[in-house]
Amino acid sequence: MAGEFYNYLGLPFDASADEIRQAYFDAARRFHPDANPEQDAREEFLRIQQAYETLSSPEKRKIYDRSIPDNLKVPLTAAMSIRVSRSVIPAMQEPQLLYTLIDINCTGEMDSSRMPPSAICLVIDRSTSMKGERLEMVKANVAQLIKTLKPKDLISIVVFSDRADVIIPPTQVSDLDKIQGKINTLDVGGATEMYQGLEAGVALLLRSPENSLVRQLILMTDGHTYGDEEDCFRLAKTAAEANISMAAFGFGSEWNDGFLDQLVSISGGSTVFVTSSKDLQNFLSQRLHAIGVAYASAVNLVMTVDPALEIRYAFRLRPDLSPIPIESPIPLGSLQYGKGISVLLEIYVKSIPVNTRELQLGTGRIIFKLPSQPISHGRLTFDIRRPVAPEVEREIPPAAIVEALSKLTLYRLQERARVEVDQGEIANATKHLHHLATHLLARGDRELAHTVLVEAEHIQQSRRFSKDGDKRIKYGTKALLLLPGPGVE
Amino acid sequence: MIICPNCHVDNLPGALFCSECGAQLVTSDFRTTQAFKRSPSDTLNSSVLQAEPVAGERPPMAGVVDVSISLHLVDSGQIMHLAGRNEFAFGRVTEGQPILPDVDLSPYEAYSQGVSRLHASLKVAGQRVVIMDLGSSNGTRVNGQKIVPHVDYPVNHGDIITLGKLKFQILINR
Repeated sequence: MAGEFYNYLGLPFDASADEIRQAYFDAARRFHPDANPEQDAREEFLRIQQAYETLSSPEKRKIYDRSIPDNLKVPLTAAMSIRVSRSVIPAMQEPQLLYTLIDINCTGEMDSSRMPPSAICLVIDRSTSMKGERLEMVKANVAQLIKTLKPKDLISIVVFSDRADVIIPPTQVSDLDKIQGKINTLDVGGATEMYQGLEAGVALLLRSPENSLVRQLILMTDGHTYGDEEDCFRLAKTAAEANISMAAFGFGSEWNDGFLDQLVSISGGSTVFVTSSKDLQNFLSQRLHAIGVAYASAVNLVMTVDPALEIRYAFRLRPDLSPIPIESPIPLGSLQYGKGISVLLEIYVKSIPVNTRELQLGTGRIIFKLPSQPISHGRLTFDIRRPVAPEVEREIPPAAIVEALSKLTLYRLQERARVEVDQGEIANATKHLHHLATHLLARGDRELAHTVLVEAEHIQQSRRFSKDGDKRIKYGTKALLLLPGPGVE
Repeated sequence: MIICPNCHVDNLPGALFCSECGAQLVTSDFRTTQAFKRSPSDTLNSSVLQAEPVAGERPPMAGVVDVSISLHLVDSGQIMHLAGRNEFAFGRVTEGQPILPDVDLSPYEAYSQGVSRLHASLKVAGQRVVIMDLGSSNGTRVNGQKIVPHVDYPVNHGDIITLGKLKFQILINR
């Protein structure tokens, strides 16, 4: 296969010599026989060696590049833009905050004929608590909505309780007739052990072609899992490395949103809160639609910041709303045609030394996989700098940042209240919830404001969140960010 | 440090919203954040909410344009035009007062409404219009939210300003 050396090292064909060296060291560290005794790793290591030998020598690389047909060297059709809350940064020795909005957009036209099929695995909880309405709504909507996938997409379904059963092995959507009957036979029984279900689902997805457009596991559950959380995280990491992303749908009020948030964030996924059949229909159709219009998958933000700075908070505004872990790399999920990815960062600047002329807010790159292309890695690099001046004029921050923050602030108020409840600071938590309710009322969002006030009262009495109100507030304030689309000028 | 006009908590410079109460700390002329300008009030005043301004045209962003300001007195429905200077001190004129306010609110039952003799001042600086409470007895509110005395507080077209109990809507014509 032409261009495979670039794929081995996870590089685009226009990678610089530095990037090649860096990629080689990173890959070699992971697959070196001393570090990784597995047989597969050994082979991988040899491949990396071979690729590096060619690509690191300018002459050999030139010859190699000539052997790649031009039509495989597809230029990137993605671009990024960066906005900062200040165009000039005041030279203060005291701490200050800056906000950075990173937008990644796909500039190309979607050509569905060239897009490979996707592989989707639904992992459905069939524990006893799913009985009745919940399972019925899953059956009805799943059967209905998988028809919207493309005929060649592979769908599989795993059900789990304390053990997992593959009820539908990977099947092309065009053979849907066979699926329908099996979904209807779904029955409940048993406890919830998520690892069982996830493991079976990941195993099925690993069997799908490696160049699938998207490989996604969609977990539907209404409960907690006990004792296997660490296993689940480890599995999610392995899955993410194989380009498998996870999304989770939580039903009712009992499920563990904190755990699932953490689980799916490993691959840049998100959780949604399902309270009705209509919710499920909306969320599932959005999710499946997003899979069909993916341009790049496994998008990761690799960013280094000056030691004088600290990223305090990171939130993804598009395509899915979710707080994102502050680590490097930051997983962002997939990049869709027409939707893009937006990330808002809150940066804490401790002190700017006297006589600084320019502040580097961060450098790094966005790396991603392009499943529809033979040379399947892409990257965008960035270097955010802003001038520093002793005297700055008052300025109005970019509208998109203010707009996004106006709503994100509300989400963060409830996050804060949550932490305070955990720490037993009930008075503070109630105060913050009251502030939140006031803002919601001012926005005209009476229903959510009411939920918040009821919850504040509940906390005062019982010193903790009610399970239902907890999720309604979290997902309700998150949903505020949905409209109008942030990141739009 | 930025002191939040709503809850008086210190925020780091560069913060756009108060981390304590969520109030907006920066001016923004963008229509998109309009809804949020109805910032928290100690008690939510429903009549203020009903008096939501009718959205005017988006003000021009560039160029120095003369800003003309009118006050719409909510109770009496009268409109008062302000012109001729960049700063207007509001209050009421009484006998033997050493410093007179620029705008005398006595005709609007200022005394019974709790307006101080020197109550608040409205300043026009370029495109910005700010109000400052001059240490009045009964305080000044912007959209129902009490502002800190002697601190400039930005106001926008359609905001409801309350001096004591006297309520007016500010109309800014750029």
